[in-house]
Amino acid sequence: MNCDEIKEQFAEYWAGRLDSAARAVVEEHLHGCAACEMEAEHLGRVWETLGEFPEPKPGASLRPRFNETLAAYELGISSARRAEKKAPWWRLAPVWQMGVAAAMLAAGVGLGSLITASRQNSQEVAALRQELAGMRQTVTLSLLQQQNATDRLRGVAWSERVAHPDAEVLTALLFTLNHDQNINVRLSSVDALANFTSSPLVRKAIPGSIDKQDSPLVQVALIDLMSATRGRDIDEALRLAAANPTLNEAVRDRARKALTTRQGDMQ
Amino acid sequence: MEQVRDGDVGRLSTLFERHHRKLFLFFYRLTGDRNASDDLVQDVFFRILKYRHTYQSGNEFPAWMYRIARNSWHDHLEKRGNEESLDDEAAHFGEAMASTDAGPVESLMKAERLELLRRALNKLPEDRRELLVLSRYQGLKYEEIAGIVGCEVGTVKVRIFRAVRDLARLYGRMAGERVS
Repeated sequence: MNCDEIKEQFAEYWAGRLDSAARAVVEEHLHGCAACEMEAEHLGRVWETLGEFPEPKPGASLRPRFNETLAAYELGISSARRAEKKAPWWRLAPVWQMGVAAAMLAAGVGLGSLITASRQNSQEVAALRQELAGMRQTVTLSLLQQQNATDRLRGVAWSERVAHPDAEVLTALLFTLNHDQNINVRLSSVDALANFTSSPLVRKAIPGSIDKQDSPLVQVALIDLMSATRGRDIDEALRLAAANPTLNEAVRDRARKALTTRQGDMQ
Repeated sequence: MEQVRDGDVGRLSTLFERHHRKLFLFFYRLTGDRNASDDLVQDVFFRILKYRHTYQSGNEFPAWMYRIARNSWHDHLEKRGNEESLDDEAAHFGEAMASTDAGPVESLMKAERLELLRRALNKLPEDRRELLVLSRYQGLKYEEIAGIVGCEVGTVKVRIFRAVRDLARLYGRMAGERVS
């Protein structure tokens, strides 16, 4: 072997993955070639140092999240199988199934295979969709409970991926809006909740949240969210905010402008 | 994995227990971000469920898993785009300090050395860093790596040597800058 070929064996040599014969070839070359020996020693030190990095452990939520995903997926699969069992009698009884299959063949092999493929796909898609929704909800909830504000921000961002969040996720988001210590997390939760204003739970909770906020920034964001939401209940909440003397003048002004714009839209 | 592929998806728990920690470290060495690494591990096992039908009998499961892991990581990089990484230098430094039982001066010197090396590793082009991680930390042979990244064994040998050499140069340069 020439020098280049020996150098290409370095990583396997350092890692102890060469068999004895290959190892002997490398060592023999190194004993006879000062340049390669020096390079092996220099690079070998870096290789060794790479092994000194601490090895952190995965987060505590990783295993529960995986178990949740798996359980949701299994649930999706079993639901799909139950749906399959409710199939018409001629698809369950083998004799009739063969008869129908023969008829299908007569109608056209190509068409038959197309239908089968489509049925399998729809089962798979249903299972995956259900699993994905469950996983996203779990991820959202677990992130919203983290100590770290960056994680909670991620949780808020994750909630936007949930197409139809259940009450638990919405409650967690509203709790974040009203009680999170970090203003950025609260502001993000306002943005996230904007996707779910069709939920009665959210519509009811948003106006009341203004009084719970100590930051005019969040209050203004809530006014903006309300001004983009239709409904008499929202109009009334905006009127109350516009007249509320305990609120910052800029917040009241925002509420007044929102009301004016809404009245303009009505006319 | 064959049982998982054939519908006994609950068996994936066994594979998760066996591989998730190593997979987490694979992503952690690439991203330097624990949360992102947790998410990526989760994503890999989700993809395994999703694509379980494509697993072929006789294939080594770890090699198949790492192929999925690479795709997951590449998608993560694309999604992240120009977003700032959550890589926290202070946290890494603290971890390195805590990882040694030596006295305070030795601990500090070791932590500084590891921090420099970690930054040098992060400066390597992603494809080289990936090969180095597969070889150094995942304990995979050249042949296995070639199967995972889809190239010739000869190419893997050359690239891994160059990755170590480039890393040593970057590390040396950064250490020199710090001294001067």
